[in-house]
Amino acid sequence: MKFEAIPFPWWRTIRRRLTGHARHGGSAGQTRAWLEARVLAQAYYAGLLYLAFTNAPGWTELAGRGETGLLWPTLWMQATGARTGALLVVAVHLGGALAAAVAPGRRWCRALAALGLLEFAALSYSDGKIGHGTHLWILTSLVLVFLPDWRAGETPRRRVRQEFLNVFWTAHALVLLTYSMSGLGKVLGALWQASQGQLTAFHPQAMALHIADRLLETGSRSPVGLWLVDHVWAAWPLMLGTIYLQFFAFGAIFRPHLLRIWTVGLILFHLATYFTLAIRFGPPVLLLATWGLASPFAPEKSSVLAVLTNLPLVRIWVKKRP
Amino acid sequence: MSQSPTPSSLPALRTYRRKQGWLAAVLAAQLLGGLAVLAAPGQEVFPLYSWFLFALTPSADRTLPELRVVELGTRTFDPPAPLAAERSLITSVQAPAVVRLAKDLRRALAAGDAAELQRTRRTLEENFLRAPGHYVLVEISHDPIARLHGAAARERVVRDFKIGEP
Repeated sequence: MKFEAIPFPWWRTIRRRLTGHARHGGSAGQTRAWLEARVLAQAYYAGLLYLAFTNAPGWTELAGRGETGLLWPTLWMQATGARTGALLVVAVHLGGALAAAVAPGRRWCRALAALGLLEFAALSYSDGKIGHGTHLWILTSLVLVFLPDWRAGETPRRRVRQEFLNVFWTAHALVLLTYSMSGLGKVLGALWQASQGQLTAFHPQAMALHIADRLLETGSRSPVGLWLVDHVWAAWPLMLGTIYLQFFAFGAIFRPHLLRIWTVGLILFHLATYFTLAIRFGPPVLLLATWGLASPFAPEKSSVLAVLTNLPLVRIWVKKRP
Repeated sequence: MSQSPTPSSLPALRTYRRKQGWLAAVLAAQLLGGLAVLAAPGQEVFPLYSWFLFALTPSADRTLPELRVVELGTRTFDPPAPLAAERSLITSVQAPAVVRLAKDLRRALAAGDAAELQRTRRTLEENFLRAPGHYVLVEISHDPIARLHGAAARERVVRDFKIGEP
């Protein structure tokens, strides 16, 4: 039987194209990457426990809500009533997060943590608007359910270690993909608005309009939002930089030299949205910092040249130079 | 490395590759599912989302709906208070939900969708206006930057609602 008979032979070709033939560290490197990924998975569930404990006091507000706008994962609450339902949801959220923090190597604990988070977020977002602050945690917790189980002190076979890394990599890639989708939305939105003769996201005033519109709409104030509205020369590069950072975020998971620098960029982006638009995305920052800054898929050091030769758009220019 | 697998390792390798395929499918589902839900009411199906946040740049001549509270319980608001900005009634975290509900109300009114109008009103009143009273839906036309600097906006009352009454 030939090797080509194995399913998905095209995956290797695509991956090589995306990675630019990045080198890996062989068997020793794989064991080390697996150990680091395992620690990061444990840190992930410690982070989830922190989020659940922070969320728990909100149950009184959730218990007082009506049952009209319930999202599909919480429709069962129509049978139990809001108070009992909210109590159950918070119990599963806290209990699941605690179980996964104590025993992340057990699939049923990870599944319970994912279910608790899904239920809690669904209930929180049943007030008429689906927020997006915990979406990345929900999606990644669902993916991490498929990690192979492990026990402390045991080193599994090479294939199982690689399966672990593949699932962990997919969860990290999923996080970065959501940013790329956001960048894609801005590019497609700009193309559509340009075709309609409207102002687009690439216009110098776009950021100022977004800030003014958001602050007026929500009655919010932000530390530097008003200043940026009056100083378009400072706002414009921020907007263009955001589109670049978001659009190419998914590519960073395939380019080890870019992973840390892109993570720092995305964290700065979230800080900027708080200081300009008064939108606080705390949970994604925790996730980015946990996985992106200590990623087992990134080299310990990257030279400026290595970063430049991997940067989207810039790398084409760098490679063309003699 | 381009080692050919031994025949005995092929079933395990096939299973491994199949799992790899499923993981790739998860990423594809996130992308395609996110784009597909743009066609759904509200443009998302929890927890699938397109992530098209701030995809369209607001125009300098923009019309947006706003909910204003006139009376709530024992309190009277004169002039009527914009609900999303009234911090004695809702928190800054809840403000985007109120903004979204105002848009949903305007959409239901424009479409003449009585069922959706009732559902949106109940969601609003059960979550944010839990006392007898009344509120109005106003349509505001403005240049956001000019208004932020104090310029007046053009306003039009779209509908007056009594809490709890059809």
